[in-house]
Amino acid sequence: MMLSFLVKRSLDLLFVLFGVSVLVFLMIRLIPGDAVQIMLGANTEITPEGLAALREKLGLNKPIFVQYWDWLSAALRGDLGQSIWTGRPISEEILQRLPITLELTFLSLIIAIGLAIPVGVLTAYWRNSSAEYLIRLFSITGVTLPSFWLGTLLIFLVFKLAPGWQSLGYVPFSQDPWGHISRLVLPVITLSLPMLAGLGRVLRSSLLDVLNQDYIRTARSKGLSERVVLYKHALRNAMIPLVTVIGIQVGYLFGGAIVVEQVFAIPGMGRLILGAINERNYPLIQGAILLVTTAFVLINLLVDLVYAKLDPRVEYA
Amino acid sequence: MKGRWFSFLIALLLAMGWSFAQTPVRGGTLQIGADASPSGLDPHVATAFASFIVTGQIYEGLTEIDERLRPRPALAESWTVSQDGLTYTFKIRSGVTFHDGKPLTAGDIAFSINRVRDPKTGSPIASRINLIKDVRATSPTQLVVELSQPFAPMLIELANIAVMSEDYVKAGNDMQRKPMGTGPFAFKEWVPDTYILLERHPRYWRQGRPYLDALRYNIVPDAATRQVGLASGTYQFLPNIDPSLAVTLRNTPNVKLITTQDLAYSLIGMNVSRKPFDNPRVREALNYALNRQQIVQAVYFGNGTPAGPLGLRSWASPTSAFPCYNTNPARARELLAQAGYPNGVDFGMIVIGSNKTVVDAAQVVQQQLALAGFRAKVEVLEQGKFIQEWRNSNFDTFASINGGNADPDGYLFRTFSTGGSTNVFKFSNPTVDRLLNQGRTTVNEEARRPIYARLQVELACQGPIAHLVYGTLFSAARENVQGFKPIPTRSLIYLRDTWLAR
Repeated sequence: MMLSFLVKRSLDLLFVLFGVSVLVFLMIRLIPGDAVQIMLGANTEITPEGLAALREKLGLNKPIFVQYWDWLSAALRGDLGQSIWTGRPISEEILQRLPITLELTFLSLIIAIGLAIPVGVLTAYWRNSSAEYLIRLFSITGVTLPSFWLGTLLIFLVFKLAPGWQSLGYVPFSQDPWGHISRLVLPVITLSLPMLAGLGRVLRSSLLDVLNQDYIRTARSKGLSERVVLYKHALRNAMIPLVTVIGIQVGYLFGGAIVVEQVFAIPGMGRLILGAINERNYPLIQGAILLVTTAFVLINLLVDLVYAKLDPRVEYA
Repeated sequence: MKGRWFSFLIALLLAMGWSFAQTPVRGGTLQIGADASPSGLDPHVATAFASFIVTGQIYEGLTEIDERLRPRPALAESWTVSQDGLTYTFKIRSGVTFHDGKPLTAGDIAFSINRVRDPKTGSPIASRINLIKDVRATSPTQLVVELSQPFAPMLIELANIAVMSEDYVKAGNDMQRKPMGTGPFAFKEWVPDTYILLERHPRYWRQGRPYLDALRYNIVPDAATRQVGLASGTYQFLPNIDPSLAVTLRNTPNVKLITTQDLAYSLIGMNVSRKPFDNPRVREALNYALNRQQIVQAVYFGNGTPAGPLGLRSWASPTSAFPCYNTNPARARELLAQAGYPNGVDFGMIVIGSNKTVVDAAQVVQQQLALAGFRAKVEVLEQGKFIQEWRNSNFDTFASINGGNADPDGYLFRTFSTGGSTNVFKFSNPTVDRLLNQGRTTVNEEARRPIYARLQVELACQGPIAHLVYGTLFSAARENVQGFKPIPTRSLIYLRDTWLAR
């Protein structure tokens, strides 16, 4: 059962990746201003022959379907090509940046989930108390604040309150462990706050639903302690919608990382992709987006597997 | 008690004396906050300031441009010019070494100039030196350059040609990624989107320079982040910042603003191959409709001056020489009516979106023009798209910002001569062409002046460009950054004299 499910989902994955690769390939070539134009910038000295030579060197003179086929067949062999600006292999460019973004997003994810559970439980239990209103106010604010604004605000706040704090830029952990961590604090807060607020609200409402179910009443009337009712019966069932939302939020987290990396000057995948788009660095955009898509699809697969763990009634077919 | 206060006072005075002392101190790394990542570091093909602020420390030219925009000797110790102005003989400075330890020869310089001239390089400065007929090293310390016509800006143009090592380039090194020259700082490391690190060149030919051990260009795309970074001391120097950032930094403790006039100017370009701007009267009317002083106030926060086609102080005619600089919407309407547009005109205006000053200026201009019957449909474009439209002359008008040159010919010839390399307006005027040629081939400065005065009048009101404002060039630094002098060309050569007070 499980095996056939995995095979089916892997086929789905291939299909999605193929679709995304076609879309990305076409879309970036439809943006006005091609790679050669951007490369030349305000340089108007180049002759039409020089321009043609440059296009040929980059393989941009071929028909678009041939370009796509060349790229796809190389990518299937594991070769994502070379950056057209730096000449370095795409895989190398990505590997240099990926760990930074992964660290940032995973830390934010863990903190957001870790705090969302108590926040969701407390607000569900303290319904209509003033503490609940306060937390709700906080979560609505958290959901609505744009992260570029929140990030800038935090930078200013820290500068006023703790001027000595090194909060900007990036240093590798191996070089300066403490400097590495202290520079991660603000970006992680910026990235996790909206997610924490959103997850907390989802958990609260699903928990309220569950707490009104008959089996909870049965559990309580059996004389089970409120602790056991909550953790063993209520929370487990309330987690299913939460897990779904987490799966979706991870996608947003990658998007949010682009903004946060820009504000805090962190050299991660977001900056890489943004820079690649501005430069029309076609192979780099294709490689990076393909990778992010793969990650997103795999996470959704993981979410489906977690359902089964949470709810034995869920079966895979 | 009294004794303690006294020693405290002494310590304070000592500390003050220390920081005010004018003797430069060796050592330290200058943390620079740069707004953009350069796409490459080959100065022969680069077009962006993000590249030049780095390569300017690594490379030098035969000459260099000083803060008064005059050429002065750099790698050339001295030179002589033949009577007919066609042959330049340079004596090359001895004792200059590249960062890899090899000595500089006249052959390296000839190689570098020829690399720029080679069409295969595709250098944007190639046409600037197209009057050079031949370059040859006659000995390791002597270089002869022959011209096909006398060329007034010759010594200024040579300052822009970075001298590379012939051996190093021919060994196949990637000049975009691993630059190597004779400058005060040597390339050390480039971590993409993070920083570029340059280290002191220990055998630099200017004795005792540079004072700093290293320059670290931190790449920080967000302006608010750069602002806080400077205020908190994470960064010590922000070169060439926007006027809006300068205003917010003005009252920050321990931060100073360093200013000079900027050679870059904002402009409205008009496509003279399209209606209605094919008509010189319409172009004149647009100038009458503009209120440049208002743009200075609203967009530049008062830090700028309206000017004509030349902003260079030593060459610029006063704006009183241009009648159309007296704002007059009624006169503008009258001219439009005479040109056959009694009901005003509708047209598009594309705006380069990457520059905040330009985007702000375009909005103010749109309002001003509307009062005179010019109905502009403003479209802010992403940089890549803007460059494409600009290059293909696919616009009615555009708003943008241009870097300036230290010599009037540097800007005027390529922009206004028929078929000029940045004449995207398709402008062609025989009188202007004749004056431009006369101006560049007249070497005597006093004889050049009237030619350029005449050209400015020809171009100011009916040319294809309405020049708006020359801003103040701001750089911001921590108080302890000493010895830096700004240059209107935005070059940062004085980082070699910069030092950090303790």
